[in-house]
Amino acid sequence: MELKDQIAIVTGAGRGIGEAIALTFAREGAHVVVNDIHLDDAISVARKIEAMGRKSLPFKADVSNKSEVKSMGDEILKRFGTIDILVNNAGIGGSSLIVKDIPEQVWDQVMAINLKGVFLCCQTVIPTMIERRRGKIVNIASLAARRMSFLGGADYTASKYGVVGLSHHLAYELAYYGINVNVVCPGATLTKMTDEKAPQDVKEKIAARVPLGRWCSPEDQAEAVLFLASDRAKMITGHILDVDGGQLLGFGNYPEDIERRMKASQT
Amino acid sequence: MEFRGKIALVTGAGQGIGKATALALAREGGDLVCNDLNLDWAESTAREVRTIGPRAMAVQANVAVEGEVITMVAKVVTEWGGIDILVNNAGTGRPMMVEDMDKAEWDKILDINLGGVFNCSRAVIPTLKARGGGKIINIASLAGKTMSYHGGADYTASKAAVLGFTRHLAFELGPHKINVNAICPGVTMTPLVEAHSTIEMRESVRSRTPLKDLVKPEDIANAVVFLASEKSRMITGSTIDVDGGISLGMQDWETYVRARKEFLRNKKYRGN
Repeated sequence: MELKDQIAIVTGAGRGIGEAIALTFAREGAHVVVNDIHLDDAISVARKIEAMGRKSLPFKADVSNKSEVKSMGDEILKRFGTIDILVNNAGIGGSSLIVKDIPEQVWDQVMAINLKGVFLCCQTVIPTMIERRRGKIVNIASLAARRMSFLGGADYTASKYGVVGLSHHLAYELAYYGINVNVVCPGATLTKMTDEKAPQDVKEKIAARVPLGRWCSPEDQAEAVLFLASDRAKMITGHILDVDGGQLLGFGNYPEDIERRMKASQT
Repeated sequence: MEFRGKIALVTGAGQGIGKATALALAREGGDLVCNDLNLDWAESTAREVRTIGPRAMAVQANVAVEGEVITMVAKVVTEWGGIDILVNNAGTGRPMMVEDMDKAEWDKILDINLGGVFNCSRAVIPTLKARGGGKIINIASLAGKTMSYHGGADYTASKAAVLGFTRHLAFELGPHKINVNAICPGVTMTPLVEAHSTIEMRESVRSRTPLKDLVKPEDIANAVVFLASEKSRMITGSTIDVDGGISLGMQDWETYVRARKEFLRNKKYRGN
């Protein structure tokens, strides 16, 4: 058990990747604060964590709202006395529009949740971590922050690039206190919601474009987050870890491209 | 016991990062092929692996020589039935200016650091495919992303090339469930580095490292274990930097903080 009795907070942990991270942490012995904007989802994940014999605190808070984030931080300190790990996972998909058409309020909302939310949650936990000279922060960005988003718009991409820039500064500033800050960039990840909503042919088409030939699972992302949050990664900070099955490689036409190369190579 | 029943080949396993990696894989149950140019060193690592528990064989081979690599891999396949994990760790470098470096000197470094990765990767592809998948982990260097502090331009070029090779090989081997990734260590306190550096030099590295510690071979080995495990089954063509954050900043930490504290005192906002 790698995180035995550590106190972790995972934002947006009511479902999907956040839920997988929360459950993986609990498997490793951590007590987990399950933040989500949807309280029902947070409670259901918290119950699963308690069933594993760990403590859990479901907490409804909008990460882009400073006073709600502060209340959450205060409650955690009151309840558990400390915070060892923060995973900033909460985020929204954005507009999927071309820049010319993105409404200003959508841009502002995406920036507020995806970027300011990370800033506010970090600001809230940093004093405790600095005081104790220990802590791990893992921010979930996106493959969009390595080039651009395939399905989302520039609002989403810009917000995730922002998370990477913020993470570099945080890593640099907090390293002095022995606090590691790293980023995971998930590629196409098959959450329960995506699995149910997306048509089978679309799912297969996307899987075919991944060199490893399949979608990432939320657990794949969670294992990478666990690695960065563990002492195995104590000399890793300010790093961006892509978990994408090789999606960043090549030119987006994987099946045709690899077949063309194989044929050309054999003749 | 992540690697029970798996066979790992680590090149340059005689000391430093290679040795730490071999021992870390063995602690998780993996059988080890310890390659080194120096057979005594390889055997010493193999003995330590056996003390931990798994099987170990020591094989002397120069990774720069294709024939020696092919013979080594054939021996492992014949005696143990195959290979699941390859860690391309063997490498070398020395401080030398380009204007003092003739082509033969350049070739020597490129043949080992880049040619060795090519030779070993190519040699294990058939056995990895036959076993339904596998892992190739290349120990590159932070020099491959920036430049080398202690080594020459040949070293930097070879490590940058290893990163390119890693991406390309990951692309080609994806359908065979073979993950290919790289690790970029910062200055790591191997016996070799310790022998060739002064206490002042090591303290200088420590003070410039944001996490205020020196990278140890075990830190790199931990990252290798992660990349060799099923926990990273969807990571390919990627790199992990293990450098204590030294690649983050362009200035020393104290100056960075002083500027911000002064700003806080004066509260002067520049621009908007």
